[in-house]
Amino acid sequence: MRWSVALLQHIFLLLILLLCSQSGGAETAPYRTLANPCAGCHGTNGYSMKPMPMLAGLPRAYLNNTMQKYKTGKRASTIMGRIAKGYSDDEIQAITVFFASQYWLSPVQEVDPILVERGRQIHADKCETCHRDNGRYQDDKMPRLAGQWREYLEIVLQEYWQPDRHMGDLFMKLVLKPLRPEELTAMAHFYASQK
Amino acid sequence: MINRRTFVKLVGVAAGLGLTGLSARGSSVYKARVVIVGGGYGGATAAKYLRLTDPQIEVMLIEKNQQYTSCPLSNEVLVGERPLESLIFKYDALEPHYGIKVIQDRVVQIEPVKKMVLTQGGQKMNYDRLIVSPGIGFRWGAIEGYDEAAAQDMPHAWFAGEQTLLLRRQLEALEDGGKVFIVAPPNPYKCPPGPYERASLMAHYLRQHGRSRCKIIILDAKDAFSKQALFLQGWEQHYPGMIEWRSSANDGTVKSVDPKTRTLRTEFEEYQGGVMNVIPPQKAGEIAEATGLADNTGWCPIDPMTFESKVHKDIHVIGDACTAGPMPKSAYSANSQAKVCVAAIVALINGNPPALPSYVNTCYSIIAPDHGISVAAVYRLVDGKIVSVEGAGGVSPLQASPWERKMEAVYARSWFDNITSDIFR
Repeated sequence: MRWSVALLQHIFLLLILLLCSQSGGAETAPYRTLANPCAGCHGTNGYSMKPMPMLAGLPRAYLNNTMQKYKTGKRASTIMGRIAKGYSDDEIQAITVFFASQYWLSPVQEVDPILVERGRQIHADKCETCHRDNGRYQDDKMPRLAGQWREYLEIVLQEYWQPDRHMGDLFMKLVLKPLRPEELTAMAHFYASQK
Repeated sequence: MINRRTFVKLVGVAAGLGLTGLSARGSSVYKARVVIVGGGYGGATAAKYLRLTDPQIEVMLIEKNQQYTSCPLSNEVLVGERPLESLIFKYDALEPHYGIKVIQDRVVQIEPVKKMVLTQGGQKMNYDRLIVSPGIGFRWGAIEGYDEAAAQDMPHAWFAGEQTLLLRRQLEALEDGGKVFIVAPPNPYKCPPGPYERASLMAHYLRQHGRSRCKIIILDAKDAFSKQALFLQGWEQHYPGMIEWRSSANDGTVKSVDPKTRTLRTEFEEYQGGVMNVIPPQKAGEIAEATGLADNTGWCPIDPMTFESKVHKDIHVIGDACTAGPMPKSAYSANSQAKVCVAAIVALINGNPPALPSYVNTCYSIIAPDHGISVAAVYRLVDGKIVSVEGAGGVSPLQASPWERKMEAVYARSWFDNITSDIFR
């Protein structure tokens, strides 16, 4: 059952947290100290207000990969690149462990039912193969979409869709390229409507 | 075998995840009390994070105002882009959610030896550790003639609320072709890019209301300012010819004012009439100064690992009032410093050495509703000093697409919603 796998993952991450805090090397700040300043933009413990993405409970490896893409410039950003460069690879690992160890929470959102239905069709047609279970599936390469802030999804889908914005993921660009802006909006409504 | 240190950590982590039976309110055995003076971006962050980190520490937050009015984003209120209500935050959630004892009162005296604070209302509170986060105070009279009374005619609007609305009314009444003077203070001061964001949004307002012949003149006590190249670029792009900046080297420093005749005087010039926004030179908030926490710079020296005062033991100073190396006096800095301070206090109360700190600042400025810019920095402690991590941080690029400028304005407002939720929710 999926819930017990999630529970095991959380217990695993808790253990990592404890190990991190015990080792407390002189060179690196503890995971909480590193992650807490992020709350200024991303909300306490990664529970954000829109349009910032909910970070709490996203997969550790995915968050790590994304931060590395920001750090190297492989993924375009307005400010995240400048911030990611401020941390060593170990520090980024610690920060992402912290957010991954939180529990996912789908915020209450307003969605348009007509757009939700349109988005559901597009998802079933183009996205379900990878973003299984209506976007609840997540792993090293892809985050959970189901229940994420609609306004964030609109932004990030736009970012993937814009041809000149490099995201470090050519495949996503190819998939989204043929879609129209209103279809991207519909997809955002759909995922936001999921719990 | 679990040692005490690990046990405390387990409890902290578990409590943070809500897994233990120890509720913040229910615990009647506190191991220590921390009193916090000032419920702003620094103090209120410290209060919440203290309770999140160690629910067995009692926290008393003393704030003179019944609610908090945010200065960040008040420039949008100034020009009617958002309502004043959106800047106002209540303390209602802090007690039920985090067990913080919020006391509406003003601290009139701090006794560092007795470890006690005295309030205007006559309350006396002992503390194990004290966090002082009073924000700034003005150097009244540093600009000759600019005293508290002058602020009613020439508002500073450097605290949000009444002053914001006062300046707004003056701006609304300005006729086309009229002048706005912004007197920008010398370093260091609260919110380095603030005066220039204000000039930008005022220009936006005036142009929108058909008063493009108005001029905004910034009389600066400095020779350079935060995000300068980006501001100049933005002004040229959106408000060509409307905003003029006079550096100190160019006789920009205002020496004296006369509110009655509406006159500003620099060394060689005299300016009369129009809207006059005087942002005076600053120092640490009054209570910090009165307690002897400030040095001859007027700001409070601290140990950057713990934010403990270099003057008085067991008193920590965070936010605008302290000198924290290269960290600017910003809301984000105050919020970040509060977290470092809290981590250190929790460690010290539990008999542990404070861990290595990590700090961040991010400052957004809105040049036009769809044009935002930012400066960011990540800091670490190196040889006992706060240093900005090399190769990281910096300002928005000069070359950016309209979409990126628009997103930075979106993120500026998003930052505001998130940081205030990090503090008040």
